[in-house]
Amino acid sequence: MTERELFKDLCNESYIDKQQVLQSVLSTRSVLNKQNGGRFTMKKTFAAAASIALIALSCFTVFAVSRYLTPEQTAEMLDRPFVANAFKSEDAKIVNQSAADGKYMFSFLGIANGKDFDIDNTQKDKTYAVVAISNADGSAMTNTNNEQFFVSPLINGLNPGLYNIATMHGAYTDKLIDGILYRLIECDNIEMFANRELYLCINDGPLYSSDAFVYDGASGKITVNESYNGINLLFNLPISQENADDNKVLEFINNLENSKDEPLSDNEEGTPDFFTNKEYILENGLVNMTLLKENFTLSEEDTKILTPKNNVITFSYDSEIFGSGNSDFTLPFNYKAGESFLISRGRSGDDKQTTGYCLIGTMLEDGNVEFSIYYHTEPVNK
Amino acid sequence: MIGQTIYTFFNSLYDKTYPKTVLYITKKCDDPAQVSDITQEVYTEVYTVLLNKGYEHLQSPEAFVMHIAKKKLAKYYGFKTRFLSCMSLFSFNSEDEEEFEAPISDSGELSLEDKCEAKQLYFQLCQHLKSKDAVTQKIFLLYYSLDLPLKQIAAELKISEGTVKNKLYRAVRELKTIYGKDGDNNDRA
Repeated sequence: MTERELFKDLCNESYIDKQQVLQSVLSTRSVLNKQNGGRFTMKKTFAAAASIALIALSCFTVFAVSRYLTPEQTAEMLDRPFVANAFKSEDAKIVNQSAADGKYMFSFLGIANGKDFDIDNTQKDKTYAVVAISNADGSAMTNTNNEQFFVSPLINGLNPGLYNIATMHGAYTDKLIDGILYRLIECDNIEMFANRELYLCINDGPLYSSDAFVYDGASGKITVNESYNGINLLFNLPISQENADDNKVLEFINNLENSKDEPLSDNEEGTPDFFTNKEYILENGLVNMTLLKENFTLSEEDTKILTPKNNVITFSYDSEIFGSGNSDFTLPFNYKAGESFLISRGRSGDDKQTTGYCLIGTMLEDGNVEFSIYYHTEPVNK
Repeated sequence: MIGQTIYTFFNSLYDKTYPKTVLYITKKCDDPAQVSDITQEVYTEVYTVLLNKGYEHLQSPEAFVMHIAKKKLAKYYGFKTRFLSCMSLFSFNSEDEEEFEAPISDSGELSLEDKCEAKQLYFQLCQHLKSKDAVTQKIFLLYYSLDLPLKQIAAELKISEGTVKNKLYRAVRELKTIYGKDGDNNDRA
């Protein structure tokens, strides 16, 4: 880097960055089309942000967001074209609200609804949200700093310990892009709850922390626990009340309650279901390879050796069977040689058949990682 | 299709007008830290108008952008504030007129890349830059971000070229001192 480049960079950081301004303007597109007769301005972004501050007054400060990818761009970078399309729709909400907590800045970028394959191999209405996580001091995150974050919608009146992304058929994918960790979460469509107060919560750790938030069973309100010594943020979820549906809510709650009693098992046809059979995934993300190999097919042409850099492996694949993708993956644990761990899993397909696939890493003696993909194709349950 | 056309048109207009708009806003606003937000507001409004009304009716899109910029600045700063801001541009000390001693080198690779990547140092540089007086910050912004020549910066800010050189030279020297390239504090780093 030359001196001039360094100082130009300083200018971008301290004053103005041409590309970031452009990105911010374009990211307000859907808001522009729908709100305020096209009179959306940065000031209104601040005003909107102020409402979040009321949720957790003493815990964090709210800022306007201007330097992030849009939710649509994030979905594209995460190889989720379905989701990118969902964020292009008129119903998508660009939120762009940020809050600092501890050494991190959390930015809730947007929320959208769409259809996607669920873990039980059927198409379902989903809600998607995109969050960007960056170092609060403005420095680039070099990896996920070995920190774990839990991001989930919460619903006023429903115990967040029982009703969160983990119980609402949720999932997430994330990627470090230009020093910022972008996380895309998805779960059952929550539009039906729109006549209640909805939140997006963030806490440290891999799961919902009942210490981080306070649920008042009487009023149904969820608030941050001011005395919690960790990350705990609540953003308001802007969902249009038009789609509130109390009947659907009842059905949803009944289904969720009933599903808690069902044992995890293979699906009805007896075909292996990697996504619901807990025997496949062991502690610390380790995979039962014996069971996996019995029921899934190895895509040999996609097997490759990757060298971790700063504990991160970068992989890509391109297959006619299960599509293409590329991403970074931070090794969450110090795996021993010979251990196989889950990198990611997903489904692709059409209305007739879907292919469930899982990306597996196997630690080798020399510190490299063998990257492989196993897949299984099955008909869609209608 | 229409959306794509407007998108393309807007991108082109943005590229074409960005330097002039940022220059105008930088000149007029008294706090360089506001330049980004005001610029964003200007182009957000431009884009809104394009989305709502299209661009066919615009006789001079560039002039339209400048019109919006003026409007936004007027909204941000009342007359009095702007007047004081303008005055401050002329208020510099006589020492600012010192002879410019050395040209600012734009070439040559920094051997400091590793140091500058240290987040703390970078943060320190940003903080130091922001602690400088508004005129120095504007000069720095116009010189490094918009690549304007010193002579033009002097003309735009209505100060002498010597002042521009001195202020820029001092700012650069102080930044270099912080990251240890030269200066009196070199050994302390």
